[in-house]
Amino acid sequence: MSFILQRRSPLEELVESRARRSDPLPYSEAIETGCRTEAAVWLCDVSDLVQRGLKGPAAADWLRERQLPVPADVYRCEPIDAGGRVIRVDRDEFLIESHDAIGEFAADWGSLDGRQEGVTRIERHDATFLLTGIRAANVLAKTCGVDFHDPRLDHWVLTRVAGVSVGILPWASQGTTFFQCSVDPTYARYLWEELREIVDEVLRRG
Amino acid sequence: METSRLAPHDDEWIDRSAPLDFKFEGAAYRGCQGDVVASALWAAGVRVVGRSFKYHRPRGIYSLAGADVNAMFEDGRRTNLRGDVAPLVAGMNLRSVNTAGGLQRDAYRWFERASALMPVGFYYKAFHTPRSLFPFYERQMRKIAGLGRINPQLPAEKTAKDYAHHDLLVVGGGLSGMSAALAAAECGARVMLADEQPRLGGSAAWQARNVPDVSGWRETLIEQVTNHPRIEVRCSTQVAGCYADHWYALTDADRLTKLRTRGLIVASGCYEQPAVFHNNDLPGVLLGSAAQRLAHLYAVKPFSTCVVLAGNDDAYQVAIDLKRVGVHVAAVVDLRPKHRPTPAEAACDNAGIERRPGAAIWEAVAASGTGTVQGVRVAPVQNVGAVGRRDTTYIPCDGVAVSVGWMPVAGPLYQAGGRFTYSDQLEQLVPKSLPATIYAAGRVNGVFEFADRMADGKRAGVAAAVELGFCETDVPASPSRAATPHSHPYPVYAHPKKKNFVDFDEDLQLHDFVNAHQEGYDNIELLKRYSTFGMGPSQGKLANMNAIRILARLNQATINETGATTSRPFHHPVPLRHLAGRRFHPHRCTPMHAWHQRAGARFVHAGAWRRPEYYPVEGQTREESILAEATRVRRDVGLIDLGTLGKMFVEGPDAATFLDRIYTDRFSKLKEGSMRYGLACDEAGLVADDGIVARFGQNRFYITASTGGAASLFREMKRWAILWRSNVNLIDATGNWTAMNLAGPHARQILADLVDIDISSEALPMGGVREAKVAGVMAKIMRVGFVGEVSYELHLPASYGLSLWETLMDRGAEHQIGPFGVEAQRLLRLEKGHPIVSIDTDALTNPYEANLGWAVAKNKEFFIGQRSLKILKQQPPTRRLAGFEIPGHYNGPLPEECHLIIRDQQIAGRVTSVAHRSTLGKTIGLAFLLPELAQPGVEIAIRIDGGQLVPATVAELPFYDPDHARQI
Repeated sequence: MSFILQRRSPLEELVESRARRSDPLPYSEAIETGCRTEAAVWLCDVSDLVQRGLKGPAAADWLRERQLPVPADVYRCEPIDAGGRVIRVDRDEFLIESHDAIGEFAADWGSLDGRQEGVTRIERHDATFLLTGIRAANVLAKTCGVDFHDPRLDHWVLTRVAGVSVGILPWASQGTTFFQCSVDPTYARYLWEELREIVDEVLRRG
Repeated sequence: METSRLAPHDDEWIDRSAPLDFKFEGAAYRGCQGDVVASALWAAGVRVVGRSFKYHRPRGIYSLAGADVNAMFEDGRRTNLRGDVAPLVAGMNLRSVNTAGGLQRDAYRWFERASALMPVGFYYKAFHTPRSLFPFYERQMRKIAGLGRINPQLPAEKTAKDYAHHDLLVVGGGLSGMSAALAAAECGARVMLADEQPRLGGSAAWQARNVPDVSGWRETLIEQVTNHPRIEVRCSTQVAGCYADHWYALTDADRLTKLRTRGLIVASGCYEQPAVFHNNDLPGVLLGSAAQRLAHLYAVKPFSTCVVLAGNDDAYQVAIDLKRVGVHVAAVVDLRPKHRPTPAEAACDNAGIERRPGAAIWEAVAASGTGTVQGVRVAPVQNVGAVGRRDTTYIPCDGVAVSVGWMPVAGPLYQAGGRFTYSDQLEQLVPKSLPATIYAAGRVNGVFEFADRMADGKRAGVAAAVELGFCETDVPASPSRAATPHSHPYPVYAHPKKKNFVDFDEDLQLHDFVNAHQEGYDNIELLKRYSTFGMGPSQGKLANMNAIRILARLNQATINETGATTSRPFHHPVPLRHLAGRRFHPHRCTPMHAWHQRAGARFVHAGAWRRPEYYPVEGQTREESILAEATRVRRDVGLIDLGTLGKMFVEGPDAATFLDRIYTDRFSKLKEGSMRYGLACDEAGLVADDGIVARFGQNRFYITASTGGAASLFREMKRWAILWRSNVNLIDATGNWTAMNLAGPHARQILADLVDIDISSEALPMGGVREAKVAGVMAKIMRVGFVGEVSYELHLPASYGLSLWETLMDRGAEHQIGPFGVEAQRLLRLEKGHPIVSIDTDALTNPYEANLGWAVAKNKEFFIGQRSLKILKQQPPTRRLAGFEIPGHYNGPLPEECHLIIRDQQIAGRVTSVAHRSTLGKTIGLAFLLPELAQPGVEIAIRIDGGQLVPATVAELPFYDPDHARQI
């Protein structure tokens, strides 16, 4: 059996056809590029971001047992030392993001097969975009009712962008604000094309 | 008469170094950058810019503030452009709306002669009998009525729509609005300042050109406001609507903004109001403020000779301003009785302008040919609203500047929940009560002096900031409202037998109001609906106040007793494209979508999804392509994208019993590693959805649902889980997982090399499910039989879907693998006689009618719909789903889905599915039939389009492989 399946971004065709680069960019490379960009708005596909979901009343304990941080409140997130973060998306539900590697906990997570009391694993394969630039919030303002210009907004926001449910995490690196947008992969093409069109408009009109 | 640009001055808004060429009604003109369309036309000597709505009377500029609809144009792309506020753009090719054959030769201009036939409410009184002619009347009215016309041939534009968030919205960029914004921002609030005009300054930009200090105040405020980091200024922006919880609709030329704030300050000023006299709508009759705007903002000399009609002291400032720009002011005709001259009147005397107190213009005289003003007839005022007609004098002039009063721009305050009362001292409506965090400032608040306006703005700004918690400071005291009225109490001096217009939008005259009142419409809201005053595009900005005054007089009541009409959004006309916005149409694509596109698939909408309907083959028809796909599955192997199926995990101690309650069958006894058909009903026992229920562990189930029904099934499951307090984890994996079905005689051969388990028919028989690695990725493999061949449904995480699809296609190439779309699948399952929920069932179908009674467990404690099904089972069936075939000898037109089965000229059934061509070489289908007809061998007749009856025979199901031998 010589075939090994590859993870593929739902956007690879779109991104390549636009002669940008064959995204998704590796996450850490995307951050560095985003910090350096001089574009007023920069949109990047980072769907190779590894995501793992956990759900159930014992999910928080499962994280603690593996020395992973447990955000205190719903929609809050905590960084993982090895890179990545844990987001509390509901009282008993967590999303673990790992930037460049699956991480030590992956095997444990993979062994969650439903026999464990109080904790269930959830496969997450969201499409993930990074939006940055001084007018990035303007792009979101054309699609979403949440005020992403507000600098006090520092938690995960579950909202609707262009009519689709999207989780948006605003965060900063090296003084650059990023909006990390995660969406059900089946809506990814639609959302990417809408955002791309708006980004072009914002770049054109300001 | 030809007017021209005035000498340049510092405050003008035009850029003379940037000329703009444009066309109006086919003639070429030149304006300047910074002109609005109306100012450029007036500067070019054009006096007639439009036709009135009903009588098609010639109309000129009137308010130059967008408060009337005289200057409305279309430019080939857009229609109903408001010339008063629309910026002039080079190359514009403008035509007036509401004409037939052009502005000058308008075919409907004779309507005026028939005005006697069109009294108030004439459309209520006529055109209803005979009833048969109503469609004719309707067509004619639709043809004639209305303003601009939409050209459906033009391409649709995507218009931006955005959201904004500030602490405070300030409406109006005049002295009071800017002062308010500045005061609030200084206290820490984030402020949006919106003004309809292209520049800040408000009325101080045109009303106070010769008032000392005001220009300096204005410029200082503009600089402070524009440079303040917490103030966002939006000019050329209308606050079109105010909604609950501080939601506001702001519109500009390009977009609609939904603004959310915590507070509102309305400093929107006033609309100047017209006077009512005969021919008060002639081109050349302007509001005084319009004349000032023309002169001061656009450097256009409004008239050569004019008469100013005064109802307040502001008129004298108009007269002085006009004289200073070279207009000969023949007289100021003051409606007010003789009184000791005010400072404004004294200034007028000093300027050598004749004053005629206690007099009224009682008619404007039209020049023959042009229809513009050539003079006015002035008469002494005897009483309020009445003149002495014997002592009239004629004053030749080419223009009239009307300055008789103001009405607050109260729409935003009314919509925000504010209440107004009429002040007899001011002869104006002023705020009576305002909700929390909503303030009024400046002229809308009855404060008229320029210095007071700034103080009032500051007071409102500080008060709002304090109330919103930005600071704790003493709120300045309110400046006192004006001591003398700035409005005349009844500026109506009408000719009893001629046209005296009250509402220019709707061509409503004074006698229309009198007649309506005589007919019993003595309530302001009823009068509005009967006469339609205030219902035109300008929403009564120039008509409402006079209408209220007239009705109050007719009722012999006060203004407060008469009341005002309700103000509703939108306050200004808003283009429909602004409301449409970008028109988001979210849709879902499976991970394999890009492959389907490359393969040239024709897509079909399935709920929110786009699914490959079929893959067209060059040289083949749609039916031939679909049949080829199905034949390949029967003969070799095919692969279909099932990513659209609902995919859900049900886990936890109560998972099995929970599914027993959701579905009609029993799943608590389902063996691990196997699956079964799951049928879900609603509480009425009607078929709601179906799918597969697979058991992967004691408490671990994986279920599928139909593409269209997945979302509602999951929603219902969550609801029931809460109501039943079930200890289950429900996970909707529809998007994060994907699926495909490898089907056909070679399917096993292709898959075997990719998996790490034995998938032979012995190890994994029909109905078996396994979790195994497929090309290195953990997936779920399910042996299903929907299409009637050896099939493996492969379910795996979405991001590996495309890779697996390509791998299977690659591996299957030597077996002639090909994709098949949803249409081929429908054909294949039809041959197997499987119904599809929502295609072969409807909203009233129970399982017994659809031959799904076998999926209903007989001895279960409970499931949703159980009680209803017990009752239904005891009742005689009314219909049953059955198969049918069209005889081979028939070669006429074939039936389609939804065609009816007819027996004895009565409806005896309905076709639910039909395939004209099948791999069996015949036309087959499913139909609901009366139970007595649903027996194999019964001849039926199907009525097709056009009424022809097509013969058919009821057939045994399934049509194909009744022993299921091919699925082993």
